[in-house]
Amino acid sequence: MVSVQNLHFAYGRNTLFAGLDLQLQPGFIYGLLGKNGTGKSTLLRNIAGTLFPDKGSITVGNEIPGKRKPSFLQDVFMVAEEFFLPDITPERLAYSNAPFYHKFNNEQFNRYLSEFEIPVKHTIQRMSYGQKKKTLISFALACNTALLLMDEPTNGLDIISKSQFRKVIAGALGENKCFIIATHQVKDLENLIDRITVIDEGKILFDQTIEQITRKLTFKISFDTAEIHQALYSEPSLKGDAIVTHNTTNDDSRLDLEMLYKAIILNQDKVQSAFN
Amino acid sequence: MNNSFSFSRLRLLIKKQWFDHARLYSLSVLALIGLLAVIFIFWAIANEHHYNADDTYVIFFILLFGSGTIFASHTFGELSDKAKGTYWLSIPATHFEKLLCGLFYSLIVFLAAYMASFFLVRQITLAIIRLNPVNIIEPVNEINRVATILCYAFVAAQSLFILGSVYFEKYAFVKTTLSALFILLFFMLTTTIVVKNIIPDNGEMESITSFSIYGEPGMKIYRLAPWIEDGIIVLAKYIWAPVFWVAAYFRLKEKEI
Repeated sequence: MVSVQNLHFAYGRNTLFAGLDLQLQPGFIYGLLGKNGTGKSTLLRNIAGTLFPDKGSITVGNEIPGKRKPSFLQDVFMVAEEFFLPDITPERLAYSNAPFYHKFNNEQFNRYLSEFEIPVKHTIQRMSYGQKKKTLISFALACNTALLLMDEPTNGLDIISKSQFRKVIAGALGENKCFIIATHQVKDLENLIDRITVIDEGKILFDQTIEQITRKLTFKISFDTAEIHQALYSEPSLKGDAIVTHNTTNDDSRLDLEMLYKAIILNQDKVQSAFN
Repeated sequence: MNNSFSFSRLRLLIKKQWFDHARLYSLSVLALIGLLAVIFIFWAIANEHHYNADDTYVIFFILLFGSGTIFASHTFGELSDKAKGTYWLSIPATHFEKLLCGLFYSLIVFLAAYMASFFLVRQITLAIIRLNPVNIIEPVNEINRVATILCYAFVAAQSLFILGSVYFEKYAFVKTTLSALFILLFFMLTTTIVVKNIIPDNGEMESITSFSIYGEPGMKIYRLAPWIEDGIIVLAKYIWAPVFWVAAYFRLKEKEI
């Protein structure tokens, strides 16, 4: 569905990508993780067509995002980190914007608004930041676009809203849809994403499915000094040392995204070797 | 799906633009009426008993150019803001449709709203003035001669500021004004230099397509064929707005946020 080939992109002399390749398929939720300033948002903007690659190509289905054709735009929605919504009620928003999206479902929109407990009688500027964001997410999901790009979607959401977000997103995915969620708040995506892509300094540091990760790695608490020493990553916790280690005994452990992310960033070669 | 042009998408865009900006537009019209009222009150007080209707049209054109260019320089103002720009660029419509929607509001809707506001305030003012039988109002006379040219100039100026709103991310109005003045100055200087070098010392330009040479036995006038002069005049009148629209279209296409 999304094919990024040999992507080069720079802001002036600040090169972000120098030959990035990425393939994303429908039916999955992709977590795009990375530190601040590593190019997550830029990559999403290139895929959405609001930025153009300096070199290389991006295709979404059969479309080239940079051309910004209506046939492309009506099947892609971007929930940007810095977003804007006009000062109208959600109902008016649907009335004036929904006709551009041929798969928009008003019933779904109202259901999401209700799940997120949005005060629908208020105009959007009267809402809190979190409510605005949830209104945008509701609209984005109701558009039923094949590709949904979300940049730090959980920023500004309270704990309950984050949980609602995960529930709503999980329920909205279909076999023809692809969701890409860029975030540095890795904990928020736990139990949600199917595949993790970590980018750093313009490169893909890590790109694996959750299934592969849990098959190859174990996340656990250990008191064994030798095991802690050999772990791919370890950090002290109240109950012992939390470690990420090779899954040699086919353990069925619960993926700890934050631990995995730290392991990838701090010990990339060793983590990568587990998958070779 | 038609990716070139669709009337139904254009209609949706126009409707959407109205819903998104209805409050701003309504407040702007009220502000314009207020400004016109202040100006006309001042005009009515300043001219004791003897009024010239031509003056009202001077006010008409000064305010038309002033408010029109300010409004036009906000046509694509969304593009100066990352969040608004992303929202605007992501609307599923072509750049051409978005440009047409901008032109519709900045040229047609603005002009209609401006004229309605102006003539409302003007007619009320004149009606109040006529209440006093001592007052005399001179009919419109001089302004008719330049009105048509000013209308062409307005469309060109409006289009230039629409282009400026795509080009300049911040202070579009100021930057477009300065750029236009700079280009105009550059054009005048180069034209003067070129003319000075082409025409001998005893000659001078008569019009844009003719010049005269003074000498013995008398003056000789050299001029290009009349159709060239007609062509240049037609171009000068009509070419600017379409040129600015085409430039705005290509700039919109290559806009990145």
